[in-house]
Amino acid sequence: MTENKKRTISRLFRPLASLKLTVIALLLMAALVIAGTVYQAANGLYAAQEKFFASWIIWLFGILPLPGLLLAATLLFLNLLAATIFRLPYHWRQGGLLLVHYGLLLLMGGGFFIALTAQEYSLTLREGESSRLALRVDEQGIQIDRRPEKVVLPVGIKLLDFEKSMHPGTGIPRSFTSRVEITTGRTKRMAVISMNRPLRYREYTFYQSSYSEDGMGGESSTFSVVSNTGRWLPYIASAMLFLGLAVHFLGMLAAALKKSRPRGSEMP
Amino acid sequence: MKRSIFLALLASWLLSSAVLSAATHLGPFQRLVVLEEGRKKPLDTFARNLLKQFSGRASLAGMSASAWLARVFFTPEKTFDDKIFLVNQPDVLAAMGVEGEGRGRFSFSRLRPGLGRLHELAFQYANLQDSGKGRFENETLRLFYNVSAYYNLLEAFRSIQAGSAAHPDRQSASGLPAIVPLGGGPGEPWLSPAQVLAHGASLPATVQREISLLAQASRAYATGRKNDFGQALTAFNRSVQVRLGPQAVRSSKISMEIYYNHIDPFFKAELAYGLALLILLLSMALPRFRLDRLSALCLLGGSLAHTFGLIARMLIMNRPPVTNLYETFVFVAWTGVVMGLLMAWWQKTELGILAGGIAGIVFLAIAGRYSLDGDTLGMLAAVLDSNLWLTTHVVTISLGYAGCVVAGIFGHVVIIQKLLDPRSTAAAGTTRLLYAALAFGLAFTSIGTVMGGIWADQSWGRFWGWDPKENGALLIIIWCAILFHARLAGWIGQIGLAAGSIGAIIAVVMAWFGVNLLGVGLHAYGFTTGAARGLLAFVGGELLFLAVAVPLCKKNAAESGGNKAQ
Repeated sequence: MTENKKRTISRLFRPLASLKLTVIALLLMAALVIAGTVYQAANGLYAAQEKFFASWIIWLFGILPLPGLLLAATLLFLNLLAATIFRLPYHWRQGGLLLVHYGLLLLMGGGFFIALTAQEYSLTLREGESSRLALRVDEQGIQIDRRPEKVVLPVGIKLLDFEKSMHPGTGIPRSFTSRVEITTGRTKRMAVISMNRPLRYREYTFYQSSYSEDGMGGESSTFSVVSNTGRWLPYIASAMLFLGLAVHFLGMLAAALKKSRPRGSEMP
Repeated sequence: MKRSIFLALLASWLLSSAVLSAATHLGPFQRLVVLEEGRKKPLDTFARNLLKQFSGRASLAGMSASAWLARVFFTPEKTFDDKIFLVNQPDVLAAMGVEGEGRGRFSFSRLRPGLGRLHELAFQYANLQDSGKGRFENETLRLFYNVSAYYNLLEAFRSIQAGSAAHPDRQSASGLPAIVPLGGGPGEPWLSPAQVLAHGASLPATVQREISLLAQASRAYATGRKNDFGQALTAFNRSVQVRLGPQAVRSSKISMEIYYNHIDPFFKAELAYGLALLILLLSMALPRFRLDRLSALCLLGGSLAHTFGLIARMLIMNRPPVTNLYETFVFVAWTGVVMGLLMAWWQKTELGILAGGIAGIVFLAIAGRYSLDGDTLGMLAAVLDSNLWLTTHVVTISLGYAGCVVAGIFGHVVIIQKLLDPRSTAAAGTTRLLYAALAFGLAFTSIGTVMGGIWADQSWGRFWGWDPKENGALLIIIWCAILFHARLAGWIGQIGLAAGSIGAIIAVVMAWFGVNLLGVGLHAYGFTTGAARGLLAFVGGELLFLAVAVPLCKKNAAESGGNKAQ
């Protein structure tokens, strides 16, 4: 690449790295988060997601186009990407801050990836019933249409027993637990799925979602089944964020302790 | 030397309990174990929550809540003149046809002539939708429920005392303390004494013996034989303890909870913080006397009581410091105080004491109001129980909230400093503290939010779900990020940052309990309308302050020619 070409690219993309663009994108996101949350209170999460959180463009009164959160987030992502290339100070002393920004980049990128690839299903079993078929649902666990898409899971799952327990003398639930038998290929094993304790198999994760009773002692248990190949991405990103913040703040603390100011100098 | 003596005095005041009643006859009474809302707790806690619910206070004219409850149980007629019913609205009294002016506490005998009317009113209002109830309707219902609860309490021991079968109307009375476990097992019901009597002859022999012990105690109290009263209840407690086994009710935890109740650590901490602020004001007026040290010591002393309270609660319930809304107030107050103390110590500035004292006193006062709603040590629903990510997430987020709140307090200070003197160099020092607090707030809110995402992913299979509480936390993060980047971009200066940090407080309170006002989502855990009004008043007040002070600051700065002070 010639020096000239480099300069042209730089001239094209440098504005994308601008701090002012960061502030604008963030302000946009803040406004959309507030609007979407208030909208959600009146119209429910699904509608809020359609209109604000998962949208590129919001049509105000049907005619006025405003940016949706997806657009604002994409803008911020590109801004961050450009900033990591053109603007961030590459110096070992800024290592923590760099790591934080890379972590954010991965967190947002991972979010996009998961939003595009992850699928969620719902599986309801009565005690004693077994199945491999799960129903496709949207991100809120709502069936998408009347004849929802079915998917054949690579594991067979049989509900052996469902148990719930309450705190004594109250209606406050203490725990929900499903005992299941899972069949993978030719092997079978018992497993327990309970609140905060999902069952994982390859890219699938089974969560205890809800239960119901038919009034005759029969119980059924509903699992949400999530298939998510990018599941680990937010974890890596979070680790980078933690580490970056820790490095940055320990550095700041060390600097502050080194130059402790003389007493009483800051009084109003 | 002088300092350590002062500190020792302060600590002993903070940790001494006004009523060291373990030695008195009331000790065994306080130690009766009640099963309420799924938790086994000392009767002392039951009594305090009840009296707070009735009167807004945990004691009655110097008498502890337990002493009051014993009188209600065993000598009911003597309590008719106790002024225990707090009426916030005189209109309710007028509607009852009872004379009385202003907000105040009234006795049962004073309210008695109007109870018929109160009942009629409550009967009408009980069927209204929540949206159809105003202040008056809610206050009427509150008073009615409290008087009804008191009625039930009056009957709690009457039949046992008389040795007769329970009054049929009172057998299923709710709100009575369930102090007698019917069997020994974990699933077996606990009953109030009147309910047990209704079971009659079908009771096991041990339970029958326990009931007769309660009857003995009851008669002993009524005839003034305090020693016999204590002995009978001690025997009752021992019998129940043996029946349940040592695992079911830990006697050390019961003792700890009673001690915690009597010390009332958060109230004392609040007093100490108030004292610290008062002395700080004095020291600013009289700089010659070096009162700033004394003020710092008061803050430190308060924080010791505060810390003790937090630890005691963790030990009693075997759980992390923040598990419900009440505890977030207490914990954020504590974090604010500790941050203030650290700043005062490291940076040698009274501003740390100021911010810590304000954060401590404001959030403990909110916690105190909130505690009137009932037991603050409630059990947790399944989804919230025993998960490392969840608990660390809540604690971390609370640290972040505290950081933003402290930054916002410094924001006010900067604006006031700039108003008083546009060329103030002190404002630059305050801004440095503000910056540090805001960075702390941003970091911990971010970490806490991400941890919440990890928890959600592990429990529900999604990292992020646009729940209002999540959105609130995201908003704080975005807002703090805006401030830092706008500062870097040169779009805002000292005043802008100060105003923005006040915006951060607003973002925090909106995320913290504003989303509870919306009443949707997974995190909407109960809120009262009075609090909503207070919240709106606070936000309105802050916006007004900004609208007036910021333009004034800018004008001052322009006039004094300080172009850097933008």
